[in-house]
Amino acid sequence: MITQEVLTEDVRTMLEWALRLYRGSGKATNFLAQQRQLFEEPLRVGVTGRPKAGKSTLLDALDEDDFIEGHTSDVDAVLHLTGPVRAEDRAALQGNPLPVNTIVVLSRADELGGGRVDAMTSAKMIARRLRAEPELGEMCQDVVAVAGLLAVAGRTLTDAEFDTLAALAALPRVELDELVLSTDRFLNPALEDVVLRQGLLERLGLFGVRLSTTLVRRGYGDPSRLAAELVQRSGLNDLRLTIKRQFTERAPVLKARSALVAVERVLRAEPRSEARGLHAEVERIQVTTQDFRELRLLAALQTGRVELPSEIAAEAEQLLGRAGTSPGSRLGLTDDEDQLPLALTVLDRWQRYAANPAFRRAQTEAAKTVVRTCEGIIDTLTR
Amino acid sequence: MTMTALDVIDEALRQPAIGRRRDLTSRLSRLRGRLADPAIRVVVVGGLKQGKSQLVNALLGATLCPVHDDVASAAPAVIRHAEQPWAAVVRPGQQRLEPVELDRIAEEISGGQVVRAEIGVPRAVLTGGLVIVDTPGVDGLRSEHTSRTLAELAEADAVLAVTDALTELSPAELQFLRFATTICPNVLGVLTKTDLSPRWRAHLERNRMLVAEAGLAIPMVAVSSVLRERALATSDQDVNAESGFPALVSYLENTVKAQAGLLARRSASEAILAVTEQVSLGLRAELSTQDPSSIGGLEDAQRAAELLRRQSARWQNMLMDGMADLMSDVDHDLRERTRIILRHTDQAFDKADPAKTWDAYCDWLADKLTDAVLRNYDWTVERTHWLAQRIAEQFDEESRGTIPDLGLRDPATVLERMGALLTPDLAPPGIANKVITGLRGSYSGMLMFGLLTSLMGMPLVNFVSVGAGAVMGAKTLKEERDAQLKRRQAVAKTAVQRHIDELVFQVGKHSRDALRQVQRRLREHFTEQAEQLQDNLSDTIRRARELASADLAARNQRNQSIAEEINTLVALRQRAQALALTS
Ligand SMILES: Nc1nc2c(ncn2[C@@H]2O[C@H](COP(=O)(O)OP(=O)(O)OP(=O)(O)O)[C@@H](O)[C@H]2O)c(=O)[nH]1
Ligand SMILES: Nc1nc2c(ncn2[C@@H]2O[C@H](COP(=O)(O)OP(=O)(O)OP(=O)(O)O)[C@@H](O)[C@H]2O)c(=O)[nH]1
Ligand SMILES: [Mg+2]
Ligand SMILES: [Mg+2]
Repeated sequence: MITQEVLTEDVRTMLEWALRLYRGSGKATNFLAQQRQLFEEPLRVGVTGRPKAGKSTLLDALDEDDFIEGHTSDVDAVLHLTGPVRAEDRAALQGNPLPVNTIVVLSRADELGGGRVDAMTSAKMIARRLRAEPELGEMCQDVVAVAGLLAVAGRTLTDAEFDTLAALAALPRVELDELVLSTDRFLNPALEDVVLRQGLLERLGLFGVRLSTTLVRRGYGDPSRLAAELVQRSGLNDLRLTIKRQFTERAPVLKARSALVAVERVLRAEPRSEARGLHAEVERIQVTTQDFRELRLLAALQTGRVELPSEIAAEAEQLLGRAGTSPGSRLGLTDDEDQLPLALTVLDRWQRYAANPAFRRAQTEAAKTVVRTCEGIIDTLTR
Repeated sequence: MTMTALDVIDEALRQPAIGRRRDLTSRLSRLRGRLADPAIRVVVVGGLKQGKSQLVNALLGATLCPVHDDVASAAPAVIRHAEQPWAAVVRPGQQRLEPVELDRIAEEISGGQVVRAEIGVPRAVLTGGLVIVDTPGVDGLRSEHTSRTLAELAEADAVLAVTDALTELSPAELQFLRFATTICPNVLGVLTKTDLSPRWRAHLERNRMLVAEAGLAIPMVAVSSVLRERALATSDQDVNAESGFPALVSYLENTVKAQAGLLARRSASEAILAVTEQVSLGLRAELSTQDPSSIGGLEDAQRAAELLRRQSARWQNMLMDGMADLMSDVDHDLRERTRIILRHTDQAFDKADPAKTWDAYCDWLADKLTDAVLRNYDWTVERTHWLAQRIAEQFDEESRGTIPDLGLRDPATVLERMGALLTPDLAPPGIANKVITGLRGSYSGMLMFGLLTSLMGMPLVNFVSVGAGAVMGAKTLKEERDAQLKRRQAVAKTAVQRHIDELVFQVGKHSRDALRQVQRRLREHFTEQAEQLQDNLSDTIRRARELASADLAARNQRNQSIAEEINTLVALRQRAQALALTS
C-alpha cells in the first residue's frame, strides 16, 4: 500500500525539488517556502459562503482552532455554507482541481424549514436529496444541515436561560402558542419579562425557543439534558462526524493535496523547461495515489451516488477506510495473526465482484478500486 | 382632449420612422395587445424559496400553489377569477389545456411534467380582471425555470418582487430588480416571513435604502403569510392586520386595479420613450450625413463601401487561413501530448513487468489520455473563440459584439466509443494463461476485459496457488522468466502505441469534422453580418447618390422631412411623458 507516510514523504520531497528548481525566482521561492511550512502544520479548514450565511456562528459552534472564516487560499479543506443551493454556489464550488476536500453545509437550517418545530427534520431531508444529486456530488464530499445558532445556544446554555425557558414552557398551551407565533409577539413590550425574552430570541432564534419549550414540556427537565438535545438536533454532531471522517482522518492526504495544487500553480505560473520532471512527478502522485481514489469512492458510496449491493456496500466502505486506515480497521480485525489469509480471501472476492457481469459500469469501477485497496493491504502485510 | 395609452401607441405605430423598424413595431404591437386585453396580470417573482407560493396562497386563502421547504415551483401558475373553481395544465410540447382536479394542481406544478398551470377560483380580489401569476424561483439567468419566469415577466402589468426578511437583499436580487423594472415599471417589493425574523424591520429599512441607492422607484410592504393564513382560519382581524396583508391587498385594489389605466399608461409611456429615443438617434445621424457641409455624403459612403469590400475579402481569408492553421495546430497539439504519454509508457515498461502492473497502468493511461484529449479540446475551443473574435474585429463597432454560439462538439463520444485499451496477451505461461485462452471465445466487451484484468491482477496469488515454480525447472525458470518479461514489455509497448495511434486518428477526425462545422457556422454568421452592413450601406449610397444628383431643393426637402419627423417624434414623446403623469 502507498501508505499515507509514503505520500507525505513523496510530497515533502516534491516540495524540496520545487524549491531547488525555482531558486532563481523570489516570488516562487517565497510561495513555496510558505507552502512547505504550511505542509508541516495542522489541517486548516476554511469556512466560506455568502454574507450572513452564518459563518461566524458556525465557527463559534465548532470551536476549532484551525478553522478560518472566509477566504479559501491556503486552506486544506472547505466548509461551504449555503441556504437553498443556488447557481452561485455551484459556480463557487466548480473549478476545484481535486474536489475531495469540500463539505457543503446547509446553514441556518432552522429557517429552511420555516422555523417550524420539525424544521430540522425537513432540512436534513433536503441535505439528503442534495447529497445524492450527481452534479453537486461531483463538487463536494457531503452535504450536512446545521442550525448554528441552536448549536451555540446548546453548547453554552446558562441556568438562567433554562429557567426562562422553563417558565415559558409552564404557561398554558394556548398562551404559549400565541406568544411564539411571531417574533413581534414574542417581543411584545406590554408583557412582562420582555428583556429576558429578547435575550432568548437573540440566542436561540424563534425556532430555538419553540423547540426548547416543546422539549421542556416533553420532560427535558434539567439544563444539561436540554442543552445536549439542542446540540444533537442542531445537526452539529452530524457535521462533526462528517468533518472527522472526511477531513481529520484524511488529514495527511488533504495536506498532500494542497501541496500538489500549490506546486502545480507555480509550474503553471512560471513554466520552465527544466520543470518537466517535476511536472511528471506531480502527476504521478495525483494519479497513482490510491488515497485520492478511495476518498472519492467512499464519498460516492456514502452519499448514494454509487450504489453497491447492500450486502457488500458496508464491507466496501470499511475496506476503503471509513473506520480507519490501518489494515486491521480496514479488515475489521484486531488480531494480527489472521490478517493475511483474510486479506487474500477478501481480495479474491472483490476481484470476482469486479468481474461480475451484472454490475453496472460505476459499480465495476468501484469494485476495481476496492481490489486495489485490498492489494495495498496485502502489500502492507507482507512487507 | 386626453389620449389613452392605446391612442398614443397607435400614433407611434403610424410614425413612418418607427414603422421602418420591424423590431420596434412588434414590441409596441405586443404591448398594445396586452393593454387592449382587460386582464391585469400581476406576476410574482423572486429568488428560490423566498415564499412566493405561500404568499399567493395566503393572499387568496387557498392551497393552490405548491409550498415546500425544498425547491417546489417548477412551472408558472396563472390564477384568475371564476365562479366555479377549476384547474388545468399545459404539458410539454402541447398547446391545449388538460383539466386537473383542483386539489392535485399543486402537486402537478411541482412535479416537473407541466409547462404552465391555469387556475380559476371565486375570489373578490381577482374580480375586475386581476390575474395573479406565481412563478418558479429565479436562480442565475440560465435555468429553464428562470426562462419560464422571464417569459411571464415580459407579459406583466405589475410585478410583486418577493424576498424574505431573514436577510437583506443580495447583490444578485438587486440586479434582478433592476432588470425587472426595465421590463415592467410597476414593481412592488414584498418582504415575506416577518413572523420568523427578529430583525425584519432593520432588513426592510436596509432594502429600501439599497433600492433607493440603485436609483429604483420600488415601494415595499412587509408581510407574513403564516400570520395571514392563521387570520383567515380564525377570522381574526387583528392577526390579519399583523400579517401586513392589508397593505398588499390595498396595493392590488387601489393601485393595480383602480389605477390599471395609469399603470398601463406608465408601461406605454416607458415603451414609447424608449422606442422614440432609438428612432430619433437614427434620424439625427442621417441628418448630419445629409448635411453637405459635413464630411459625409456620397464620397464617404463610397469609401465605406470599398472598405467593406476589402474587409469582406479580408475576413474570408482570415477564416480560411485561421481554420487551416487551427486544424493542423490542434492535430499537432494532440500528438505532442500523447507523445509524452508514450515516452512515459516506454520508460515504465523498460523496467516494470506489464503482467504485474498492467491494471494500474491501464488506469493511468486512461486518465492521461482522457486528460490529454480534453485539454486539447479546451485549447481548441479557446483558439476558435480567439479566431472568431479576431474576425469580428474586422467589422465595425456596432456589429462587433456578436459572435455566434460556436457549438464545438466535445470529444466525449469518441472517448466513449474508443473504450478501454485491450489487454494484450501478457500472461506468464501457466494455468492462468490457459484459463484466459479458454475464456476468450465465450465472453466479450467489458466482461472480457474485467475477467482478464482480474486474473491479471493476482499474479502473486496465482503463481503460488498453481505452483508454477514447481512445474518448471529451477534454472530454466529464471532465463525463461527474463525472456518472457522482455516479450511482455515489447508486447505492452506495441499495444499501447497502437491504441494511442488509433485514438489520435479518431479524435483528430472528430475535431476536424467539428471544426469544419464551426467554420461553416462562422462563415454563415459573418456573411449575414456583412450582408446586413452591405445593405445598410447600399441604402445610404443610394440616398446619397439621389441627393448628390438631385438639386439643392430636393436635398433641402429631404432634410425638411427629417426635421419634421423628428418634430413629430418630439411631440409624441411629450404625449408619452404626459401619459405617465395624468391620473
Ligand atoms: N435562525 C438562525 N439564525 C442564524 C443561524 N446562524 C446564524 N444566524 C444569524 O444570521 C446572522 C448572520 O450570522 P453570522 O454568523 O454573523 O454570519 P456570517 O456568515 O459570519 O456573516 P458575515 O461575516 O457578516 O458575512 C446573525 O444574525 C445570526 O444570528 C442559525 O443557525 N439560525
Ligand atoms: N415562517 C414563515 N415561513 C414562510 C413564510 N412564507 C413562506 N415560508 C416558508 O418558506 C419556504 C418556502 O416557501 P414557498 O412558498 O415554497 O417559497 P417559493 O418562493 O414559492 O419557493 P420556490 O417556488 O421553490 O422557489 C417554506 O418552507 C415555507 O414554509 C412566512 O410568511 N413565514
Ligand atoms: Mg462573519
Ligand atoms: Mg414557489
